[in-house]
Amino acid sequence: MTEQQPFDVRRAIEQSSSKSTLQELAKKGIHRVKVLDESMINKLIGDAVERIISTKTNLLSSDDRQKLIEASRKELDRLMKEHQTSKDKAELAEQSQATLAASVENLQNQLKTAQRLAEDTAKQRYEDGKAVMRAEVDDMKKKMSTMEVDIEKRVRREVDLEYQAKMANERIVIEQMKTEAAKKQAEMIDEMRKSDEELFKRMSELFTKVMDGVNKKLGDLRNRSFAGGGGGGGGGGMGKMEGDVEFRPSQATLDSLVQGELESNVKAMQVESKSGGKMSNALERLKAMRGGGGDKKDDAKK
Amino acid sequence: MADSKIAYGKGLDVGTCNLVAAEQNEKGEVELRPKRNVFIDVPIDAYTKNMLTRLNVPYVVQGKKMYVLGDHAFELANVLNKNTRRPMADGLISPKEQDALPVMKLLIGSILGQPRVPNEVCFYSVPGDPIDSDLSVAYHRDLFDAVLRSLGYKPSHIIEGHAVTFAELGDEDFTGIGISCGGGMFNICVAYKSMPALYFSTARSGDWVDKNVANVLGIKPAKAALIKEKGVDLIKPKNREEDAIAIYYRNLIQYNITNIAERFKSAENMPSFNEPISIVFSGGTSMAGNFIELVKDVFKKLDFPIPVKDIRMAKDPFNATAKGSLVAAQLEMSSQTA
Repeated sequence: MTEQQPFDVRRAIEQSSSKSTLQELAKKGIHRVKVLDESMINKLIGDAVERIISTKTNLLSSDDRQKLIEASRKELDRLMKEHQTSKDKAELAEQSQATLAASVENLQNQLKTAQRLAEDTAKQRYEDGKAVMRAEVDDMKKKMSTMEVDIEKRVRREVDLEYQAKMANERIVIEQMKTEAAKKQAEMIDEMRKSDEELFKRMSELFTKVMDGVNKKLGDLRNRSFAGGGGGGGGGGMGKMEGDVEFRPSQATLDSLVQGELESNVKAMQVESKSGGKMSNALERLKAMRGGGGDKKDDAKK
Repeated sequence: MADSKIAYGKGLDVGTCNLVAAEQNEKGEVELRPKRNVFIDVPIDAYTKNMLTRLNVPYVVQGKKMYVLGDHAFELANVLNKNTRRPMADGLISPKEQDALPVMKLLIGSILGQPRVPNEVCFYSVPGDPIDSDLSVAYHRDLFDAVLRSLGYKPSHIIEGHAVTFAELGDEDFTGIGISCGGGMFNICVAYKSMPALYFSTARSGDWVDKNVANVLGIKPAKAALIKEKGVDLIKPKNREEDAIAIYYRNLIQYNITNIAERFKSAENMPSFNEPISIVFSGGTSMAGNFIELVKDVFKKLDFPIPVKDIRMAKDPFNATAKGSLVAAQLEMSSQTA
């Protein structure tokens, strides 16, 4: 019988497993793995063998033993498969969880992207709208300015037309007035000519009369100066001439003005008087100068 | 019975503002009776009449009106802040106050009294013909002749400036210039040996000052007159009122002296004086402080056509016209008796 070599667990695992990098796993969507280390595997094998041995070793023949070993091997294989299966399941579960997480993350990213996209779109739409509106406003402004210029031109044209119409009317009126004025002026000139002629005639007559009067008054003045001038040496005043009318009340008027007594207490009043000194010197001198005073009384009287 | 020692005849200064009667009494002295030539309306009732008589205030009733007369009217006007009424304006009877003639008759009668002898001569002053007004002196004379005749006097008139020469220029043979500065007029007379050589008047005097001062100060002319009569120094005025009075006085003097000079230059019948003469000022308007100094100040800037040795104030400026009129009346009376 060939001697059985001891079971190399590491080798068995290496032979029955394949190697894969973490990036490759991640690519496959496997982000998390359960790790079963060598000592654990050895322990599992040992436990399986121990269980078989403890129940059947000493009691078994070599055949039986062989059978047992085979059975053990089978058991190990079963266990290995079972382990592999559970491992695969775990890996699958893990893989599906990771897939879900990735999906969620993907969806979240998609949502964010969609939101960003929506925001960008809205912003773009706003900007586009704004630009459109601005263009429209600019357009409106242009139109308005154009309209203003048009309106101004139109109004000016209308005002000009109205003014020209008025001016034309006024020109007509002025022309009419000028015509009338010219007529009147002609009439006035004619009248003035007639009036001037008449005035000249009258002035000539008046001048002749005035000259006669002046000559008469000059003669009178000459006579007055020979006589001593202005009634006893006057010669002042506004120059009353012969022929000037001076209002002199009649005696009857004067009498009526001063006659009659008014009711009064004046006569009963004591009139205050005061002394003014003596003046005989002046009187005597005057008497002496006038030779007794009798002959020149009219000089003092004017 | 007439006293032979008395020189009969009366003088009456008929001024726009004041009336002054002058006569010689038994002592040979001149007796003067002044009265302000104004009146004012008062309510007419028995109580007022009695009260006025008790207070010795003269009144007169004319129709339905009663007037207070003279100085009392002037005082009353200032108390009541009213204007007095004036029978005369610009030296002549006022055409606006025709009804005032009987009132004037009463005033004149009260100061002249009765004639002491029948037909006693009364000389009253009249202005010379005004050079700046066409008022009629003849009409004025006619009215006063009638008033005096109705009072029993033999009326006669004397040019106001001439009366001043009679009163003031005796020592200079009655030769010189007499100027009476009254309320309404300046009256000027050039006299030679007592004869009036040239006389005239200007219708601008004390009233003109009062009116203008009243205008600028916003007061009544009677109030302005009161301020003026209280005494104003024309060279050194002390307040706003006196400033106004001094300014208008200077203008008044300038106006009158210039007119006098011009009149003398243009007059044909001016006497030629061998020696310089005196100019005497009289009248209420000339009684303001430093009046003569102001006249001299104006005078020295003029080319006056007559040689002048002296410019002076009358000895009795307020009464000079009345006194001169009295002299004229006495002269007339003496010539009648001679």
